[in-house]
Amino acid sequence: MTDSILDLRAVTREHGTGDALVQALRGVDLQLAPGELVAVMGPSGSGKSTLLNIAGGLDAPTSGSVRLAGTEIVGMSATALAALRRTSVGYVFQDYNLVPTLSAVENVALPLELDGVGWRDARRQGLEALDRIGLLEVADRFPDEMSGGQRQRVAIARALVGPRQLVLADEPTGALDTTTGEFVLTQLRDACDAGAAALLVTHEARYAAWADRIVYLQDGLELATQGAV
Amino acid sequence: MSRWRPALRIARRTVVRAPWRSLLICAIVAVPVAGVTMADIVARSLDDPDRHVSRELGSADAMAIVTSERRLESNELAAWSLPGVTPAAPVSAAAAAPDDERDPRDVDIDALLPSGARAVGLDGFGAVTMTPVAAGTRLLHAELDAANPHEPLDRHRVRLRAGVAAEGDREVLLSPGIMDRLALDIGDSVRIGDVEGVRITGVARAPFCHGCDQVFVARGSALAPTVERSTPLVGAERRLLVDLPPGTDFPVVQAQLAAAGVALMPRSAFGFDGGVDLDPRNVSLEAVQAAAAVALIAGLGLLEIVLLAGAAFAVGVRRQARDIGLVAVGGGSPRDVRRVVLAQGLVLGVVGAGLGVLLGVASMYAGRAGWERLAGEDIDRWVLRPWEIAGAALIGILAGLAAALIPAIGAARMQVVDALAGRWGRSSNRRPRAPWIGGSLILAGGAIALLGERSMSAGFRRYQRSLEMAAEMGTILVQPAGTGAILAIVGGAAVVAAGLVVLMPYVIGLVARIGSRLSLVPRLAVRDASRNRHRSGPATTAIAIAVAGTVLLAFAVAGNEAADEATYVPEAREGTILLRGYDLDRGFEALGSSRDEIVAAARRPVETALPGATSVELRVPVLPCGAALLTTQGCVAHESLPLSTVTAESCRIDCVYAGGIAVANGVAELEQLAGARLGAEARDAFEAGSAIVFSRALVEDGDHVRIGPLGPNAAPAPRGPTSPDLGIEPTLLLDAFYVSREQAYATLPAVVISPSHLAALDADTHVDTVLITPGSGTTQGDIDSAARIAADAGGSIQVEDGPEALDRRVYLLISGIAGLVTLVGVAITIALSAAEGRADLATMAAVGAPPRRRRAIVAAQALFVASLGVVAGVLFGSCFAYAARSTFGAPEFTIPWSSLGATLVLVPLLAMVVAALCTPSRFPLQRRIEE
Repeated sequence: MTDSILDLRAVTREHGTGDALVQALRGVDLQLAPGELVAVMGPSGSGKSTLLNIAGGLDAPTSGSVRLAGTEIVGMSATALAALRRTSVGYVFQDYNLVPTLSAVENVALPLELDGVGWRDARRQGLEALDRIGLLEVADRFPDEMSGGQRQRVAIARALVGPRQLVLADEPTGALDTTTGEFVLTQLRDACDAGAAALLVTHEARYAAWADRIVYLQDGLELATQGAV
Repeated sequence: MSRWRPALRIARRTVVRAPWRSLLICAIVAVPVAGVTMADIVARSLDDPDRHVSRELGSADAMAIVTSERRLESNELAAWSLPGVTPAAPVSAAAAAPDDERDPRDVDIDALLPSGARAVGLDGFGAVTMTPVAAGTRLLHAELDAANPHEPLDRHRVRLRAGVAAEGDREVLLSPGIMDRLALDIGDSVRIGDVEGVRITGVARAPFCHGCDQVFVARGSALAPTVERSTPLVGAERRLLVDLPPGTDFPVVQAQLAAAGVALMPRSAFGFDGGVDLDPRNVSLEAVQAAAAVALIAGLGLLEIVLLAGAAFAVGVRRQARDIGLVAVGGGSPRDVRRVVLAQGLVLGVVGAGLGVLLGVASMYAGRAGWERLAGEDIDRWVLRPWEIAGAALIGILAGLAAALIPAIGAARMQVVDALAGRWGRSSNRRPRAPWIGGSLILAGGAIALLGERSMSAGFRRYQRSLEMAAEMGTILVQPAGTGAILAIVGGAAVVAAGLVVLMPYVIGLVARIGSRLSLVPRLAVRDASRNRHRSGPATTAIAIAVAGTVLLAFAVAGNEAADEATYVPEAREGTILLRGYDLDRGFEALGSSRDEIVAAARRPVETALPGATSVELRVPVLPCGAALLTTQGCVAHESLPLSTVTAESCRIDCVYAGGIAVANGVAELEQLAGARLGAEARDAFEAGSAIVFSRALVEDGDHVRIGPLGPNAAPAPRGPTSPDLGIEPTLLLDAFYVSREQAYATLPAVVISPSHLAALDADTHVDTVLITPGSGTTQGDIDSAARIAADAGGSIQVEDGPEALDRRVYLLISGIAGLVTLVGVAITIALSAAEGRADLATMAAVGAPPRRRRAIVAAQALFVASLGVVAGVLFGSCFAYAARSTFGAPEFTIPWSSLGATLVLVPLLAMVVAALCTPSRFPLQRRIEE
């Protein structure tokens, strides 16, 4: 699949050595096309978060290939990976999503500023992103002045700001009530409908149902795939 | 720059969110910046060129010097007007014919000055004696000046502190020192010189000389010109301060006055540029030593800041790990992450440096009285050199950045997933090169210092030999040292300090291996230090460097004390009490009777007060003309005498300093004067008519000593190498018998002659000192009584009890400094450990550890870190003290055992106790972050 945004082939990830060796991923293959929302499910320790980290270049596989928008990222320098994260990949985590010393709009604009975009322009784009998710009124609040739902929505806005091609969400609804959780999924869905791809790690089937495809992991192995491939 | 913006924003807010840690780092940066700021302002204010001018001229526009000549030529005037040149006498005074001279007091200066100008005389009348009416003593030298405290042009000469200005002919203002020492009050009467009944109207002092004994009279007072002076006045010109009206054409006025024989010196003629002589040939050894010491203290001080603040930063960054991870997730490169941490160093450096400057300037103004007391002068105007203060602040900022550098590098190396999990890799020995680098630096520094030590040791050995030889002669030597050697030792110390920084974490890991054999509490403490070497390493090194500094200081103090002891020339044999007819120590002299009379009057009562005492008069020969008798063989030695000259056989010794000549009536008195029983040969020789000589340097041709006159009515004193025949009459060449002695005495004679010699010289004797050997049962109370009796008679007593021992409190103070810095280092480590280890302690509590266990762990941590730092510091400081031992002046390497012992034992114990006392035993439970 040459037009995949994300293309993982035979990816393995091992932690520790000897008796303490843990195989977090054991030869996982996964491809994401533009506009596709893929959910990853599985029990704790099945390798879901490791898969997400490797997909975004936060962690490196022990073996295998990871191509992002056609570019092999395994072996890339930390600086090059950082540049890729600034421009192509957005992350949403379950908790601790925002830098506590930056306001909402500053958090959203952070990747742009780090990419050299001027403060005024970055702030304007940040405000637009917040406006799109209906959080313009909290733009200058700090994370500890916002509710959990607001923080997560700001994180979504940050993940989507700029020309992002891939959004990686690690249980983004885990700490949210149903309404807010569904709002977050709506945002992800909208981003995919606009052409991005998203990989969603979740424990909850009701949120996985928003995905085009669900991948089941257990002990680092892909057990099954539900939905069109 | 745009990529620094988010980093600075995060840094700024992180600083606010962690106020205590930020405050700690700011304080570490601010305190030294404040100190440097304060020192700079004081130094610049005291050394201000304008201040030098004000010292001479006050607010006047010029100084007029009325010479004894009727006209000054333009070339002579130019010499007066050169900046920084102040000729002591009119240029052509010597060339002027006596007939052309005039009395400067006859010149009407007001008539020569332009309209609107004012002139006041700078009238000094030399030194006078000061005698309270009801006292038996008098002050020997007080400067008598005419000045008015209410005259603006006299503001730099006199300032009234109490009472009113002196106006009448018999009214004076006295300086506070005189008032205190003579126990005088305003309204009392004194005798100034030979003038009785002079009333004190107030207390005033010279703003540029608080310690000067001064008497101020009103300008024009009849007292000043008539009073008898204790030192004669010199110089024939008259000086005045001149205030010129605005718009005065100075060169024109100057030329007009020159035509009338008056030099008008502008303010620029008194200028002092405060420049530094950079010619290496003119740099003194003391200057090099001082500069090296300042460089070492400043360098190591900066390292202390970096280490202590660095430890705090390291912990801060660890606590920020997740935030840093989020920056990386947002696309922050390792460089961006470094910026985030460095920006905190920048922000805290700026805040700390700013606070430091403010603190320095504020304490400057607040502590003005203290600075003035220290300088002994009024400080009317503070001189702030913005660029220099900015330089101090910049160093503070750079220190903040340097402290953040290592944590920043560590943060940038962190894996993003580890950072997101708040997981920072534990310190380990995974960098095997570090101990090698550290060890190599220490060896290299040691080698450099050793080179310096080698080059000094030759001079040091010479110095040791010289001290032995000089003891008999009573001369003073200057310890040897070399500029290059000092710089090598200081440079070596700096390199070793750098090595310690690198090596210390490894050493901690090494020492911590004993942890498995320890009980629970010390095991936890040792392992905590080992696993968190990012904080324990810098803090331990900081303690080691601070302790090394104080240890070096202790060695220097002990060495100086030993040097004082080695070069000390006692007045007489130990235990001897000297009764004198004067008390020059306090600047007082008895009145109404001669020294001989006072001694004669006091001798019996003093001896009665000292049970079992025996005494002998020190009878010094005096010629009828008033000249004292001295040995004329040998010559003059002084402090700057080259060592090579002193060690030579023909060494030149100051004969007066070696003890002079005394007359003994028989062998018994001779032995009393010598303070020891002499051999039969010496006794026989004295009885046979030989003089007894106690200093080999005074013996001429092996068995003679030559004595001759010296004094105000004698021929000029011989200086430098002398010939056997000095041409000074009368001189007497006596048979001499040399008696060896190990120690010279300042009062005991170097030559003892008999009354027959005295008769041959046609000389008399006078007695102003009696040597008293107290009985065995003499108490301090007896000596105090004797002292009171002597004082009442106008004399004084002095007990020879060896060189003054250094106050033991000095050593305690030195250990106290080490303890204070150690406590700061330990406090930082413990506070950071507590901040980092809350979860561990929560776990301990969960498994049933009692609350006091926390205190025990903290105390053990303090003990471990402090002990390691103190031991390393003592070793480091001792090694460099040994290398620099020559500069301390002691004949041998003196080890300050008490100070070292206190530092090694008490300081770690103190750190442990303080840490335990300051640690609350209860703490809130904390959720463990999954790692």
